[in-house]
Amino acid sequence: MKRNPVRSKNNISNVSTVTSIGRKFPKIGLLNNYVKYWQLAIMLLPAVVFYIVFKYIPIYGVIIAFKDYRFNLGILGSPWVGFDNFIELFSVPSFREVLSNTIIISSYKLLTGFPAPIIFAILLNEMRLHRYKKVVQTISYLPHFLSWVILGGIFYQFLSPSDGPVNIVLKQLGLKPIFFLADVRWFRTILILTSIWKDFGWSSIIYLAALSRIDTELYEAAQIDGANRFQRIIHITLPGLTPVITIMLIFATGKLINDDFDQIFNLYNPAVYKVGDVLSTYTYRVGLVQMRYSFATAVGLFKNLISFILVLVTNSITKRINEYGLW
Amino acid sequence: MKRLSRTTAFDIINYIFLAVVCLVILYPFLYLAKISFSSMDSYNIPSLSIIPDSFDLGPMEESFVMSMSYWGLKIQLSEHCSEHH
Repeated sequence: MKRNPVRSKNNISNVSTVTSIGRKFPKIGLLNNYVKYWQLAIMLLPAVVFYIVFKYIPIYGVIIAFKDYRFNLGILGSPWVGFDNFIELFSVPSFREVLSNTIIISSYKLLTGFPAPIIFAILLNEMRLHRYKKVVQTISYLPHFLSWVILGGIFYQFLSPSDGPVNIVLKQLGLKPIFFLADVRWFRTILILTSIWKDFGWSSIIYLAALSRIDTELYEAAQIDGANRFQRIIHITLPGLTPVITIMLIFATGKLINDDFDQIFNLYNPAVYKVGDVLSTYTYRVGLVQMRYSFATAVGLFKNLISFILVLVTNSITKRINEYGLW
Repeated sequence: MKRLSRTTAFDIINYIFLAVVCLVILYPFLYLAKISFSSMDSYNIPSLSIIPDSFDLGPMEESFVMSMSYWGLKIQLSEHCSEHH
């Protein structure tokens, strides 16, 4: 690899040189490296402390999933109950319903929400009016920056059965108004559509970045050879995107069990619990509203366990395909 | 660099499609903005238009002067200030 002379003076690139050469030449231990570049180690320290204090120490609270937690006895004083909470978890029908809701909603979101930014990026890439392209891009990023609390309010108004624009159109077409957010047949569709609406623009950034790296000479050569638009998209643009698509797809699959608490919590209501209640909202209601802390922690722990397994599996798949993974 | 291709049907459809996408994204915001600036009477007559048919700052005034949003803002600001002392 050609090295930039300016960057090689930099401390950071020296570190990587030392570690990469370290295997062939006299061994330099990891600890020695830390001592030698102690300035960098100190710069890393705040982040390490942050993760220990806010991410690792709170893990000890997980033990209440194996206890019958009571306020007055405290975490350590509450009696142990072993796996009772988990046995209860798998015996209550509401949990099974919530688990299947989570998986169904996430899979639909993956199936429809994953191709959307790719198609959008390809269409943007085909545009030649530069100004127009920038305007479309900027507008498409807009909803990403608003929280679901605000968007929840907007959609509640927008989909309202009495005066929401969607239902005005339906009424003018002679159809019956639909209460989208309280109708079990429509709620999942609304969840999926609104999540695509919010994030397709923002997620298209990574694909646009990949597209900008495709050599324009390829397009010119294809044009001279007589390839039309669709042939150029299929034979040049898509192969250029494939590596990024693979990685993004694997990461998206790893998040299958993770649901969007903010979105669902701000849009759902008791009328659609049957189809819209997911693991995170269920944990919230059971744990914080009904104050069954132990049971809710057991639900959370179960979800994290599956999440962890999915991350491990997807990471190993990524490694096999790309020869590098997260770790 | 000289462009070889002309404007095709694909281009036209593409431009129109992306314009529609932009409209779909912007419409909810514009509709909400219209409602927040129009009076209660015109709100009661449902319409798809994004141009307010009556201009009224009443709702805005209400939300800034007497509602809880002012209270919330006050709490947020006082918390923010106390952080810096």
